[in-house]
Formats: sequence, C-alpha cells, structure tokens
Amino acid sequence: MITTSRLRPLLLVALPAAFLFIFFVLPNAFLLAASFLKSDAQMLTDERTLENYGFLFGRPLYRAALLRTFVIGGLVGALVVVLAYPMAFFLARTTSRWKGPLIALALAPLLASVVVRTYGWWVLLNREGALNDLLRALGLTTGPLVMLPSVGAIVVGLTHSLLPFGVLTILSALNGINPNLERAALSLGASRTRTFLNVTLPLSAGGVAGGFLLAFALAISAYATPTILGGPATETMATLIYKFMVSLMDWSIGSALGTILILSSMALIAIGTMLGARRATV
Amino acid sequence: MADAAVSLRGVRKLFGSAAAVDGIDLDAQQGEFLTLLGPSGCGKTTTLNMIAGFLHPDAGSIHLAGRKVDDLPPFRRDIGLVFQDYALFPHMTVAENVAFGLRMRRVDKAEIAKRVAAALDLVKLTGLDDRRPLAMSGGQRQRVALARALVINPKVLLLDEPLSNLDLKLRETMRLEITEVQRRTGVTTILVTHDQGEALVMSDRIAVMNRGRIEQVADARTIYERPATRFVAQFIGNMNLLDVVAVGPGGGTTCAVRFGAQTLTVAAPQKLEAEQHVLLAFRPERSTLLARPKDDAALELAGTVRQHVYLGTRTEVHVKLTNGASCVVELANDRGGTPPAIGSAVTVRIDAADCTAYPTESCG
Amino acid sequence: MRTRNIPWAMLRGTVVLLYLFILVPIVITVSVSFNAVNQSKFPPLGFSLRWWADAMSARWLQPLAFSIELGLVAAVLSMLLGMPLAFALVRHRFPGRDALTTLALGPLALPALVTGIGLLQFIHAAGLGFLFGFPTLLIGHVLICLPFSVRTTAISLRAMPPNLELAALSLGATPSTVLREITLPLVKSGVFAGGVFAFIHSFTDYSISLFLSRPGTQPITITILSFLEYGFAPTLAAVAALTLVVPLVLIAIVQRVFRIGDFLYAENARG
Repeated sequence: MITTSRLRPLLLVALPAAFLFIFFVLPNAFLLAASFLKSDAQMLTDERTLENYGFLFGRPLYRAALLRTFVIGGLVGALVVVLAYPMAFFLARTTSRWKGPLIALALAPLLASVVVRTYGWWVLLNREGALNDLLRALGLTTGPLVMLPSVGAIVVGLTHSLLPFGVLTILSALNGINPNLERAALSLGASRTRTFLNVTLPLSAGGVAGGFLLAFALAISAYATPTILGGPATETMATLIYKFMVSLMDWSIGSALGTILILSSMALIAIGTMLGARRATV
Repeated sequence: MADAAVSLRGVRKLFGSAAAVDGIDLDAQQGEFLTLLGPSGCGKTTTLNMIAGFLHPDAGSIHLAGRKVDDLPPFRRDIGLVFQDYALFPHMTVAENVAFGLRMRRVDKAEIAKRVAAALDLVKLTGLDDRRPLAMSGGQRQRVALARALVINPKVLLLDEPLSNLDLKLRETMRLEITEVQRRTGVTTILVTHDQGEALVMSDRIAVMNRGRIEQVADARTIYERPATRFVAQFIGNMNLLDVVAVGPGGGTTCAVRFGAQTLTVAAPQKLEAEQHVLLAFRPERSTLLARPKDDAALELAGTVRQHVYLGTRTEVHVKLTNGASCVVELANDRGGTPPAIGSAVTVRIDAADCTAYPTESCG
Repeated sequence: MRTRNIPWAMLRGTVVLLYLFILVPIVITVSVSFNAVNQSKFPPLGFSLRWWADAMSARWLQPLAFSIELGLVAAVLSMLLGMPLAFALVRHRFPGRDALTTLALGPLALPALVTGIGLLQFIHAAGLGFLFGFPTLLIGHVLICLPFSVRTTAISLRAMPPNLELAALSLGATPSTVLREITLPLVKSGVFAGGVFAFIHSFTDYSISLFLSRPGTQPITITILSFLEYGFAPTLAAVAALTLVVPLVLIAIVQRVFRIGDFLYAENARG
C-alpha cells in the first residue's frame, strides 16, 4: 500500500536470495547433474551416462531397497495419519483447561533429536530389551522374540518420530473448520457420528492428505531410524546413500539416489497441492 | 479568495485497468467538515488514501492549504488520520501514542507533556495517560486515536470510517462528540463513510460518490431534498420510483411528465428526452393516503393496501398500485390515528413540488 | 456444553494410549541411564549415576558444546538473512516473489540429507575445499534454519495490522523511524521465537550434518549416531537424556522472557 521505490525489495532480498541460490539451488542442480555422470576410480568424470539409474533399477538388491523405502513411507504416512487424527480431534475439541499444556506435550517430542527418540525404541525392542523381559515375565514367550532389525521396527520408530507433524497438520485443518457448520448439521438432525463423517472428516481431508504426504516425504529420506532399528537386510534409500557416498565413495550412484529422493519429495508436494492440501507459504 | 484547505483537481487512480477514482474535483474550505459518502467500492477510501499520501494519483493533483503535495510522502503532509481500527500502537501507553506525532516533529519534552494533556482533555480522557490501548474500550480507543491525530495541529483531519467498529448507542454519542471537537478546534475535516445517517448528522457538506465519480456535493438538506441524480436519490433515505413519460424535452430545472391521464410539472435536474420513459421519485414521508381522489394538481395514484410496517414513531404502508407498481407511504403515528386496513382501496397523493424526475438510465 | 457421551470417552482413552506411545521411548531412554549394570535394562536394574558421570566427560561434552555453539551461530545468521527476506515477501509485491517464497521454504521441503550431499559435492567441485569443516556445516545449518526464521518473522509481520505503520507515517515518522519504533518492537517476540525454533531445529538435526561434519566439528547427534554402531551402553542413554536438557531449558527461558501481552496483542488485533 505504501508507495515505495522498486529498489527496496531488491535490497532486502539480495543477500538471502544469493545465499539460497549459491548454497541450495546450485548444489541441488549439481547433484542432479552428477547423477548423470560416470564415476571412475571414485572420481566423477565428464562422461554422460544413464548407467547410475540403470544400476539402481537393474539390480534386485537395490530395486528391493527402493521399493522397501516407498513401502515404509506409505505405511508410516498411513499410520501417522490414523494415530494423529484422534489426537488432533481431541486437542481441537477438548474444553479442558489443560488444552494448552496437552498440545505442548503432544509436540514436545520435537524437542528431542530423532536419534535420541529412536534409541528409546532400540532399548525397548532389542533382544534383551524391556518388551522381551515383559513378555517373558508374563509367560507369553520362552525365548526372546527377535524384533530387531526389521522393517516393522523401522515403521514403528518412524511413525513415532513423525507423529507430531501429523498432529500439527491435522490440528490446524480442524481449527480452520467453522464450528457453526457442525452445529448446523446437528441442528438438522444428524447424529454426532454422522456429523463427524459427513461434515468434519471431509472438511479436514486436506489436513489428512497433507499429514500423510509430509510423513511420507520425511520417512523416505530418514537415515537415523533405519540405521538404528534396521540392518543389512532392511536397507533404505537413505542408508544406501550413506553407503555409496561414504563407504564406497561412489558419488554418482549417491547422487542418483539423492535425485530420486528429491524428485519423490517434489512429486509428493505436487500431489499434495492437487489434493488440496494447503500450499506452503511463509 | 483564500486557498481551499484541501483541493483535488482531476484526480484519477487506476487499479489495473479499472478506475477506482475517475477524475474527481473537490474542494474543502478552511474549517469545513466534508464527508465522502458512498457504497463500498465507490472510491472514497482510495480518495482518502491519496490525500494522505499512501497512494499516488495516476492523474490530476492534490493541494493542501495551497501547496501542491503530489510529491510529498505521507510523513511530510501534516495530516491527522483516524483509522477504522484506530491503529493505536499496542506497545505504547495512551500518552506515548498521543505524543508520537509531536516526538516526530522534535517538539521539546515540556511542550509535549502540555499538549498531550490538553489533547486528552479535549477528548475527555484526562488521567488515562498510562493506560495501554488494549486495556481500553472501543469508545476510549476511538478518543485516543482522535487525540493522537489532533495534537499535531494537522492541516486536515482525515477520518476513515471511524465509527463503524462501535455499537449503535456509542456511535450516536461519538458522532456528536467528534462534531463538537471539530467545531472547537476548527480543523478542516474529511470523513469517509458509507453510513448516510453519520454523513447527514456530522457534515457541513456531503460529497456523494459512486463508481469513482462524485455525483453531488451539497449540504445535508439539499442532498436529501434535492438529490441531483437518481443514484443520490436512491442511496440517501427511502425513495419511491414510478415509471412515467416525459411530455416534452426538458430538464435542468423542470419538466412536464405524464402518468396515465394525469400531467404535472416536476423538478428535473438532468436532461430528459420527449416521449421517453423517465423515473418519478418521491419520498414516502412526503406522500399521504386518501380514501378517494381529489382530482387537483397533485399526483394521485389508486391502489390497495398490502402491508403495514410499524416503526415506532411512524408506520410504513405498502400500497400495490392499479398499474401493478408498488409504493410506500410513511404515516406519522399520531395519537388515535390508524392506517387504512389491509386490502382497502386507497389513493396515494403527492404534491408535484415533492416529485423529481430522473432519466431511466442511472448515469455514471 | 459437551455431553460426556460414550464416543468421547473412547476418544479420551485412545488419546491417553497415544500419549503413552509418544512419551514411553523418551521415558525409557532417561530411566535406562540410571542402570546399575552395564546393560540398557528397562526398568533399570539398581540405581547408579556412573553413566551420568561418564556422560560428563569431555568426549561427550565437547560435541554437546559444539552443537550449542553451532545452533546459536546458525540461528542468529538465519535470522539476519531471514528477517529482511520475510519483510520483502510480506510487505512488497515484486516479480519473482512467488518463486522466492518457494525457494525460502525449499530447505524444509527437500530432504536435508540430500541437500547435505549436494552441498558437499558442490563445494568440492567449486574448489572451495577450504570451507570444509565448520564453515560448510554452518552453511548447511543456516540453510535448514532459514525456513523457520522466514516463516516466524512473516507470521508476526502479518499479525500486525498494516495500519499501525500507516498511522505512524501519517504522524510524521519517516519509514526508517517506523521500522525502528513500530515494526521491530512489535515483531521482536515473534523474531525471538523464530530464533529459538531455528536453534532447536539445528540442535536436533542429524540429516544435514551427516555428510558435512568432520572429526572435531561433530554435533552431538552425529557423535551419538556413530557410537550406536559400537554398542548401546547406558552411557549413551545418559548422553541422550543430557541433550534433552538444552531445549527444555531454552523453552523455560523463552516462557520467562516473553510477555503475555505480546501474545494477547495478536489475539486482540484479530478479534
């Protein structure tokens, strides 16, 4: 509204935009380019090739890891949404005076690093862990159950670490619903269940889609959880990236894996926009 | 003649390709209370923002007290502005809010204290210096905003829908209080509002705006009794409109019109073509109901009573005319008087002097 | 007003279970650190503070201190970059604004792990090898903090009625005075909160650091992660519990520094 020179926004954004361009856009572009270059003796060459992708999609071992990553992402996304919804619904509708602290408590795990939170699951699930002790004490098992490493444990661990994001997304969608719409449905003779199914749930669908996709995207690029709760038989894209980049020093394959992750994240964002999940804005 | 306090010449403002303000000329004399009245989107707020300097006109120029201000930023224009949401600084006390403009003018501390106290006195907020705006009622915030705008002795005071966030009773009190403060300080004031009641009560003159143009500028009585255009006639108060035919070409002052067999000469501020349909406007409270026609110089319309609307001091009687049109007659609720029963046949009677004819096409 | 019906009671039961699910691993980690035996037993066998004594050694405190230092510098730098950016995005209309908005949130939208590799390769290829170590790590952390800084600043700018700035202008304040006397005082709590979020994000991150840290410049999360490969002694649980203290203390400080009025203000402006 204030009439100002055109120069002012330019001055404000110049430095941050340059920073983002040099250290975010260029590196990602470089990664994309490197994924199409041949690696020789652990060095990138100038030779262009599709071999890196061929290698990843061609070998059953890696194909399985890619597939596993997406299965984990889908399962985690679904579990996060299923568990976060009742929680968000409760937090949106409770009239308790503890509402504020309860919301804070639901989001508190974000204050702890995923590394720390996943470590707790390892303590709980390992061979000598608390869950096995409990099962033995109850006489339900004789020998220890082997729960680690496994895809199931990875899914549980990731669901746990990403749950607060699901709660946040769905809670904000529920808070955006005009409460009079539910009152109107009730006044028109719909039961509470019908009101929930026919009014509340459809109106919060954007939040559900957003929560699912966010959890999906974060799950497929997670490294710590599959490392701690998984093993050689449960490699995911992120653990493969680490292997190729650090242990094998094959930057081309690492870049190709990274590119697949970036493109997957972008595709998820695009799907989210199409499904009407709220567009990210500052 | 002294320079007008505010003077707009050919001012235009485009938003995209649409003209929000479409070439207006307007003068506010020193000490005058001028109101820009119109429906939302008529360009009144855009006009205010151009006077304040928040928007730059695409054409034309603006003078404040004889000085061209087109190239002056808002903070060099010496204006006092009261916003609809008051825009009080929440991190400052009442006194700090009022002192802000003086501080910007590097007035010395003792002088600031003196003028702030006087300004708070003027708006009847003496002693509330240390309150925070958020701890105050809407009416009090309104007064702080007024004091803050007045304390700098602005060349012109701009009021942007200042009363629309207040409830009805408070709004009526504040109308009179703001008018009184304005009279006492003698500051040239421009009020922007969509509320015709506010405009009629507070203003020396009213400029009615529609679609970026000024339709009429006049005092409240003229605006109400002699609306220059059909838009003004319909926007201010209630108005009956009747389809009639102009007898001969006319307009500018008067014109003869025909309704059925009756012909009468009425006011016609705009040009009318002969034998064209025109609209005859008359106020509900200027018409009366008769049991049977008198057949004299007045316009008489036969019809049937359809509905009564009781309004306390008055009753509106809705009449369905025999030609299918309908009109409203407003009767004072005198002691003992009852309006004709619903369904009864009546004659609506209006003096020719209370009628005005307008072209069918709304101009502008 | 709410009728205490059966579905609601069932919902409450479910939510209690969900809270347990959320909190149990953290509770377990903390309690394991008090084991008297060299095993990660839960419930702990006996009680001892020896693993906490172990955790207090330089081997763990050094990366912990480094993480705090890194988080502070990254948060401050990201605020310095993010504030003007947020200001331009909220208050100005200019070509490329939408693209810049997307770009500003980019480091949050794309996997940080991959941004890390990209940055590693790019700096290597651009011949900026001298930046490896702390500078590269810092660049990465500023990147992942930037979306938080931009977003919180933008939110507090939007929460402020624009008329306040116009009012100050009309009262004779120059644009720079408006910025100093009106805008900054009103957004400062939001900016501070943004800084705290940015710090916590940096402090708890491992993804961007995974490929960018070097021996000597290793954040605590990476140190823990690398020790997990060698075994899971209760010492690690004590270290993990120790890392929880930092954000908690920070949140407690924030609660004290913030004035309630700063929050109420935004509520009032809307209602």
